[in-house]
Amino acid sequence: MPKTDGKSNTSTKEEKTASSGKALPPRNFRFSSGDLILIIGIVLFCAFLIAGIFIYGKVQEKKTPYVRILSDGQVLLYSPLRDFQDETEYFIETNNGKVVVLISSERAVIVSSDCPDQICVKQGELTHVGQGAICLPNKVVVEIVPGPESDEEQEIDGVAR
Amino acid sequence: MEYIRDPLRRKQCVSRMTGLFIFLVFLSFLILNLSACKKKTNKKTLQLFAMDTYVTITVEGKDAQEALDEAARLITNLENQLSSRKENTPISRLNASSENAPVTLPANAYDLLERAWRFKEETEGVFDPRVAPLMDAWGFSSGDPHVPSKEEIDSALSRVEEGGICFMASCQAYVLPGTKIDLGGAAKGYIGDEVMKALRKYSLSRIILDLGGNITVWAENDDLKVGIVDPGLPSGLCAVLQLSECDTPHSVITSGAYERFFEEDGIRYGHIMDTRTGYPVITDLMSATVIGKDGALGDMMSTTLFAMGREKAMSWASQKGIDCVLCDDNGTLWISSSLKGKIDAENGWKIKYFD
Repeated sequence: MPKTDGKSNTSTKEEKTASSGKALPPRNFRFSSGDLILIIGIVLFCAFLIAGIFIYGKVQEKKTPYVRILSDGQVLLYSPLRDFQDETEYFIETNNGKVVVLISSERAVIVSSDCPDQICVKQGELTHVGQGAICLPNKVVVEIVPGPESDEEQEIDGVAR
Repeated sequence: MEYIRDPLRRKQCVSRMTGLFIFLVFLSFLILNLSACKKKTNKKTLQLFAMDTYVTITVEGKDAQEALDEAARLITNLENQLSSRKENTPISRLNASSENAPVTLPANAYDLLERAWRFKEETEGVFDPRVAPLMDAWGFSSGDPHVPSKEEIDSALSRVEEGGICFMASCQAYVLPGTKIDLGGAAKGYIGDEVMKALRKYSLSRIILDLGGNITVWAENDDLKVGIVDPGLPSGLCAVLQLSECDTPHSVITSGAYERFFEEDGIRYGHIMDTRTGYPVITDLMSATVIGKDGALGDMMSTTLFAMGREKAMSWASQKGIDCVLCDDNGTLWISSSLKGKIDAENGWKIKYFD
């Protein structure tokens, strides 16, 4: 019996301290729909901000030069040049032979090709948008192209060779 | 912020702030959209391997896709008329013809053949469509270039010297025994002209044709920039040409031996043949570029100027009123004075104008 009494006593005590200790928020505070919208608004705002920063980064990436490798018209590789922080070698097997392309963050170069004329290897390093090396016997094209979202006008419309 | 005790006022204030936040959210969304999307022009590019080279066609405008389809058809079609390396083309049938068995050529092929032949006469054989036996002997047609034996050169040379074409009425023609015609020095320029002519019928604002480095461009009320490759460093440029008034198509065509060449015993042999000696041309030029409105002429002319060497090329160009850029082997660009103010040198090349 005294046990139950004690229990009820403590509970009423706690209620008292809670109501007297904290003046705010008063008892008449209710979580209104306006508060809800406010909170959702803040959360959404933050979400959009984060998404915005993320998308901005993506868009910036799409503006940097891309490297593209085509083999007989098929796109084998199309990615931002700056993704190649480590030197990467690509071995391209074609119907006619083999072409080796080396890509690093600043350049792409056909290092070897088993074609007789070696015109593609003689092209040397490709560093700027608009440059390309073509291996006709193997039908392989390595090009530096503007990113898909690049807004700068392509400086040169064509190159006479 | 002071807490508002009055529930009514609080509600008003909250709803006002909510409105502000929603507005901010939409604003940020709008800015995001604006930065992510921009005005897109209907620009399309076609790339293909044709004519023993790599072709890139870029067009802008409403009919871009239809125009590219037509361009691809036309290039294949014309290649099948003008190639001497493919089997059963009008030109390869011509090479197998004789006085008793003349061939009837398509009007395109007949026209170009006649123009090439006239140009040969005009240049006193510096440009020569009979060059094919030499190209074969040196292995440039098969893609396995090498120095042939003296006998091989002599026999090829005699086939060139004795060669000839007889033009007959109604697009008929035959060749003298042994003759093998190669229109490689004119065909790409000619095909550029024809493709440009066909694409102009579409609703486009810009046409850029790159037929293995032969450039033909047109733009509606716009300037265009065309680079000329640095013959000493083929991934760079030696000059950039500013083409204004591109409302009429311009072609920029370069010839040189910096790309198609081979080395044997330390000597460099280029792919442009001298039909008088049977050896690759010896010239003090690294490349010759011709700028003009006629691509077929530009193609033949650039080869000719390159083969002539600087002095002769300069006097020939000024005599014929040809706009050209000649790269010599000393880092100087010799440029027709009519191009003054339209061209900038790159990569440390010096400019000298001539009249």
